[in-house]
Amino acid sequence: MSMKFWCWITAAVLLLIGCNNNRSSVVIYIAQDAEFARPILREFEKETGIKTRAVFDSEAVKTVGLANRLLAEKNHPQCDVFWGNEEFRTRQLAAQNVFRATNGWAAFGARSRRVIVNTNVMRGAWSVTSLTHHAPRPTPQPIAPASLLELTNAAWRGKVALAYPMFGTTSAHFHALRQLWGDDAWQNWCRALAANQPFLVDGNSAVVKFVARGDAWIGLTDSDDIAAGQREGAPVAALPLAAESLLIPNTVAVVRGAPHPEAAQRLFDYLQSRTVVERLVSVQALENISKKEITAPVLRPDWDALIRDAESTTARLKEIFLR
Amino acid sequence: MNWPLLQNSLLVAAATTVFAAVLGVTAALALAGSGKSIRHGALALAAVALALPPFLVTNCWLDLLGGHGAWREWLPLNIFSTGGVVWILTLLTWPFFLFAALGAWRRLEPGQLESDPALCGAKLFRWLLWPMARSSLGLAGAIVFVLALNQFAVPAILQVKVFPAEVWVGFNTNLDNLAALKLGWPLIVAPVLLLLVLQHRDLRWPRGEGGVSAALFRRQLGGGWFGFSRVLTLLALVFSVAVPLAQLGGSRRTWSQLLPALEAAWPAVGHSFWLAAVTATLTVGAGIVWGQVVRTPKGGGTLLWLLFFTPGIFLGIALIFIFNRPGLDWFYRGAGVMLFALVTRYLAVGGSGAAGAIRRADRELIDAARLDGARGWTLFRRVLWPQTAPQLAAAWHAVYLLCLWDVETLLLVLPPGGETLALRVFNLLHYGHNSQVNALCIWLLVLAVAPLAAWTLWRAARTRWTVAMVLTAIFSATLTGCKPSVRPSEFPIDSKIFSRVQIIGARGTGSGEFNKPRSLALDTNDNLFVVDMTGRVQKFSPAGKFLLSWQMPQTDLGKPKGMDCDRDGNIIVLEPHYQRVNHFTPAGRLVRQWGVRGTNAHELTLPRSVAVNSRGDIFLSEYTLVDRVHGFAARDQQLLVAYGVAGEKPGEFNRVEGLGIDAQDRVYVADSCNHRIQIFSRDGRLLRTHGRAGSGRGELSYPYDVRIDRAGRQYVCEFGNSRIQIFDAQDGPVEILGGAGAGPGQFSNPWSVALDSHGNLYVADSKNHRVQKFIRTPAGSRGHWPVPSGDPPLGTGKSHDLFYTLVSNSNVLPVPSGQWPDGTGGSPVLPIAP
Repeated sequence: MSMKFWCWITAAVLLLIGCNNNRSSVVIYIAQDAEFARPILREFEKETGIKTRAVFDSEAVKTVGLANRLLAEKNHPQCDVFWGNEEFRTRQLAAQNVFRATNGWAAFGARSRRVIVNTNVMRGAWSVTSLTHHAPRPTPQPIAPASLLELTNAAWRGKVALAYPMFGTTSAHFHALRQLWGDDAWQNWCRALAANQPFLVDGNSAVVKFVARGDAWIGLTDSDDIAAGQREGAPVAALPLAAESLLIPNTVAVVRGAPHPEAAQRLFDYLQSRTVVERLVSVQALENISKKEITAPVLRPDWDALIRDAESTTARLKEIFLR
Repeated sequence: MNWPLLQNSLLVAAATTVFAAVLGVTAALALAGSGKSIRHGALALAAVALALPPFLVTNCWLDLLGGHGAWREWLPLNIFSTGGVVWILTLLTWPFFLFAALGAWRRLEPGQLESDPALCGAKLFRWLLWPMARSSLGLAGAIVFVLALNQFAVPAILQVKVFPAEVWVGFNTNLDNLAALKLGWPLIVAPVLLLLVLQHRDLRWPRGEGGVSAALFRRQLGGGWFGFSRVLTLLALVFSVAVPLAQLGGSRRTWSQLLPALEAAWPAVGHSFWLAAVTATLTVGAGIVWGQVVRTPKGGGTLLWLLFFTPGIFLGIALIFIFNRPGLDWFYRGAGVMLFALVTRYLAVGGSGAAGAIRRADRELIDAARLDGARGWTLFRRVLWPQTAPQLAAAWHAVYLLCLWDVETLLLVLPPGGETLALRVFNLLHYGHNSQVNALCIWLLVLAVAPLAAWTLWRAARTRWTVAMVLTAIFSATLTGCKPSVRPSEFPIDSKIFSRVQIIGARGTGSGEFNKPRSLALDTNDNLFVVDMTGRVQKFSPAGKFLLSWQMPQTDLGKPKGMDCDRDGNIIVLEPHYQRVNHFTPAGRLVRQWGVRGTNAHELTLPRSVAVNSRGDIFLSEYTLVDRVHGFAARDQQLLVAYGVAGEKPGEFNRVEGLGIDAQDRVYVADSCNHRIQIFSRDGRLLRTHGRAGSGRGELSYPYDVRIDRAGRQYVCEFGNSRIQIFDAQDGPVEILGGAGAGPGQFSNPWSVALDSHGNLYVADSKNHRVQKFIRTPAGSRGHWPVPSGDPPLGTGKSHDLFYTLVSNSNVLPVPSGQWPDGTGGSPVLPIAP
């Protein structure tokens, strides 16, 4: 083999290898909007001098791509900090000892699962959070449902949109509803909902699109997706929090055996700071500084029981919604 | 095993494969009989069809054929059906068959077509074209079948339940990779069986002459067949490319985000390009070597195909298991693992395509060349490449496109900072940044056709080394992360008063970025202060450079809104929901805070705007429980004047959102929901009003702010019309700046304006998340002002080194230096250049 050949090979190897033994850096896996997370990480870098190296999630493979990666890397972690955007998945990972034993993870901020309506069609008491409050509203007809139980009414046949109840925050919500109503009532409701021909789509942002387009009149989705839709001018509004609304905080966790534990701790503390949470609230990635601020009656599930029953609940959901 | 779902998936995959094959082969017939320029153009468009993201195409067709679709009335097809899924997947995948067939038919020889006059039309296809392309089409069929079988998002949106949902539940919800893999075995086995059925022994054709001309092909095919195939090809291109692209490019916001999105995603662009290009080169290169070494394909190829058929997430898990080990961190943490993942995934696609092409080359020519001493690169370049170039290029491009959009394979092994464009798109999609998603999709399409463009350039260029160096430079730039700077942020505009506009900031929460900026103020040095929905106050230099920021301490109840500069040079920031007036130094230190909640005369209820007159008196507007204007003394905040009640009559208010004060201390009130400006004397006497609801000249829609320059011109910020309307001192409309849009000089619901000491105008362009600075026409320029003859000057004035002449009817005349103002006493003065 000629010298030229070995030079090319060396150059290719140098291009492809990764060197990351830098003590003043921290690796973070983030299940949050990169547009909002990046400036926060830059501020952290400015304040602490610690370089952040981030991996973000993707709609195509759901948030859980990162969760699966953390599990797969458990024996030889590459990640220091996990910034999650829902509690259920974080608790599942904690139950599998992905995070450090003491003070492994924390929740901060809160957004919620809400019913949204198409404001060109529906009427009722909902909170309009967009700047379109001056736009004239045509006289709508149907009254928005007051409870999730009403979604099984024939009046909403073919007019409800939600993400597949086996994935993401919709899954967590359905699990919590099972705990609230009891298994029999919950199964009856799920079957009635499935029979009411809802639009089952592959994500919460798709729910907003369906409702905005008018294909569905009502949707069940996350408040940050609603806010994102309103920013784009979608004619949607969120109904107020109800007893069946689920609060979803952001979570931050330090991985067990993190390669850079000191830097991880600093980032762990920084992400829970009021400044960061307020910033996320201001851009509507969160609704509130913390769950404690919300005094309205909402779902407060027993998460340990939820995790324990997760498999059976998922099996029921598959049986009902994947036929 | 969920058999109904598996049935759905197999039906969708099979139907898609069949329809895509028909469409692709028909298109190949049309292009084989078309001239070079039409062929190249159509191939580029076909590459675009392959590169369009499924979510975009699906949403496009939902907008057309969904429940409220634009075409629904005259085309009542139910898109929410298995047929709808097949339709969309066919539109996404037919180019695979086009590339395969066209690549195979490039080996046609004139003698083959002319050998039998009866070999035309359907017989030509049956006895010559089909056997020649069978192997390539089988390969394309396997690819399309796998892609359709594994599709989840498109069927989910169109309400068709498919088998991959089962796999995702196992992987996603239960976090059980092994169970998910066990569930997913049909997704792997079905394509393997299909491949075994579709594989054929390659036919070797002698190669003694050159290629077939388009005219000969057309003649043999027959006018009827050719015409039909052309029409179908045109329809395919319209439905699969033109219609989605029209929706993609139809939004102005998409184009305004084009360069900012590229600048933000430049490293991802580089990663996408080089990973796709290198993967395609390595896989095709391996196939070239394999095709020469192994003359008859054996079972090893099927094993490689398993890696392509297996969902990418499982490949990722396997790679983590293999490489995430202490001794291999150097590889696992770098780009090498990404390249390895992609090469492993697509080796069968690129390798089979290339190996098949090599095996179909004329062996006699190869043997003759070897006897002449040709080996290795020389043999490839002089003998193999001329025979197989189109097929190799087709295989290369197919792998390149598959890599561009790959997400599943990379997500689990992506090192920090190694984000690709596709991953970035899906992250932005998840969080609803539609215009940025669309902009990045356009760049992905540019990347998709870039190799075709480079190929055309290469063949056309006289000096190929120059082309090679240009391409190398571009490649190096993407690797090293050199990024283009965003074009200068100043743009010329067509205005009588302003010559250009500068864009300050962009959307975000970082320093110098905004989230719905609502209020502006300028200090005595013309530094700009902006408050937005993050609750920060940010300070910029007169040139627009970020200097510092501070966070308002309390924003739970609401964000600050309403700013001005007090007589001490401090920045006043109102907190409407806290009924507070804050005075900050330009460095951000709070020096004074006052305000008592209530509706009594000296108390405050949701103060929304503030203005300071020449004496330093502070005027505030309020609304909700009261609609009024308050004036407070500068020194001790003693109440000086209070006027206004809720209502529509003159002197009554309906949501005052902005206040302005002129050189004579008259108070201008932006009475937003009454769509008018009301002007009061310093002591609160109503002088006049102007404006009515509308979008015409002189009409207003939700005026949110007003500022008055020294000439008495009023700059009214119209939230509802997304524009700035300029009135003269007699309330006559002078000019309108902007209109709704995201381009320079356009606005989206502007909230606030401010004027600096040079007469430059700042606008808080709220929904565009930026501030725009309109720069006054420079000194010495007459701008667009007409120069009348014979108009007697009404007087002259000077302020800030600007020389004025008093004129009538908004006309100006330049004044020689040395002339001084003679006192205006309320007469209008228009500034001109010295």
